[in-house]
Amino acid sequence: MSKPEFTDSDLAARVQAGDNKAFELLARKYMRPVYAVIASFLSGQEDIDDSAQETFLRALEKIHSYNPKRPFAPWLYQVARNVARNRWKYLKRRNHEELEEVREEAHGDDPGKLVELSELRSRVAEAIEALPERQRTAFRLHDVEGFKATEIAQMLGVNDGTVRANVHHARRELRKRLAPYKIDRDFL
Amino acid sequence: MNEKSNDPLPEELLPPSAIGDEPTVWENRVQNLMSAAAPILAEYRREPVPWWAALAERWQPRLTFAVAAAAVLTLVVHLALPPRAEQHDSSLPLATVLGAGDDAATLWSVANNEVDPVLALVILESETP
Repeated sequence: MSKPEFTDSDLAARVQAGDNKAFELLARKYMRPVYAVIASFLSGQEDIDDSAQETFLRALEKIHSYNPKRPFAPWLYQVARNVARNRWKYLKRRNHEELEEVREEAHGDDPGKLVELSELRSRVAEAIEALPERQRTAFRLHDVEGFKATEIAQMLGVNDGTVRANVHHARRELRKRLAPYKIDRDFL
Repeated sequence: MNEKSNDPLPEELLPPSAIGDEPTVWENRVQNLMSAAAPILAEYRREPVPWWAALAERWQPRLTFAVAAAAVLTLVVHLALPPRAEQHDSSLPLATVLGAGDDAATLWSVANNEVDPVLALVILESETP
C-alpha cells in the first residue's frame, strides 16, 4: 500500500490546525530554496540563517492568511523575499558609512594590475552585490545555486523569459565590471 | 575575462553556494526551526473553548461596562430622589406612650403603625366625629 501523498496546500491547511509534522515536512522541503532566495539578497551566513528562520516563523504566524486553494511555494517565497529585503535595507542603513569607505578604497586600485584569485573573488562578490535586485537574485539562483529558470521563475514570481533575461544582463554587467582586471591564471 | 558575455563566469570566481552544506547542518536548522515554532503551533492546537466561555470572553468588557453603568445610574437616581420622611429623634416612641396608658396610642398600636403617637392622636381626633 503506497503512502498517502499530501500536497503543499494540504500540509499548509494542517499547519493551520497546529500540526507539527505538517510544518516540519514543509520546512524540510523548502528550507534549501528559501536559503537560496535569501542568499541572493544577503551575504553574511548569520544574516542568512536568521532570515531563513524568520521567514518560516513569519509564514507560520501568517498561515491563516494563506488560501489553501492557491499554490503554497510562491506565497512562501514572497515572505522570504520580504524578510530578506527588509534585512538588506537594515544592513545597508547600518553599514552605509562602512560601505562608502570600502568603495573609495576600491576606486583607488589600479584596475590593470595582476590580481590574485582570492582578490578577484571578492571583486566578483562586490560586483554581484552592486547589481540591480532582479538581476542579482536571478544570477545567484541560476549561476551560483544551480536552479533552473523555471524554478527561479516560481521563486521570484516572474516568468521564465524574465529570469533568463536577468541572468544574461547580470553576466554581461559582471564581465564589463571585471574586464579591467587581469587574472593570474596560475591560481586557476 | 575574454569569454562570450552570455557564458557563465568561471566557477572559481563565484561565491560559494548557500545550499551546499552538509545534511547534518540542514538537520540542525530544521530542528532549531521546529523548537522556535513549537509555541506557535501549540497555540493553534489549543482546544476550542466552549460556546458560553467564548461568549463570556467576547462580551466580558461590555458586561463589565454595563454593570458599572447600572451602578452609577442607581447612585444618581438615589441622590436625585427627595429624602424619605423619617421619625424625628425627639419623637416619643409608641411603646413609651403605650406604657403610660394612652388610649390613642393603644388604638394606633392595634393598627400596627409605629409612628409618632402625638401625630396619631391628632389624626384620631380629626377623624372622630
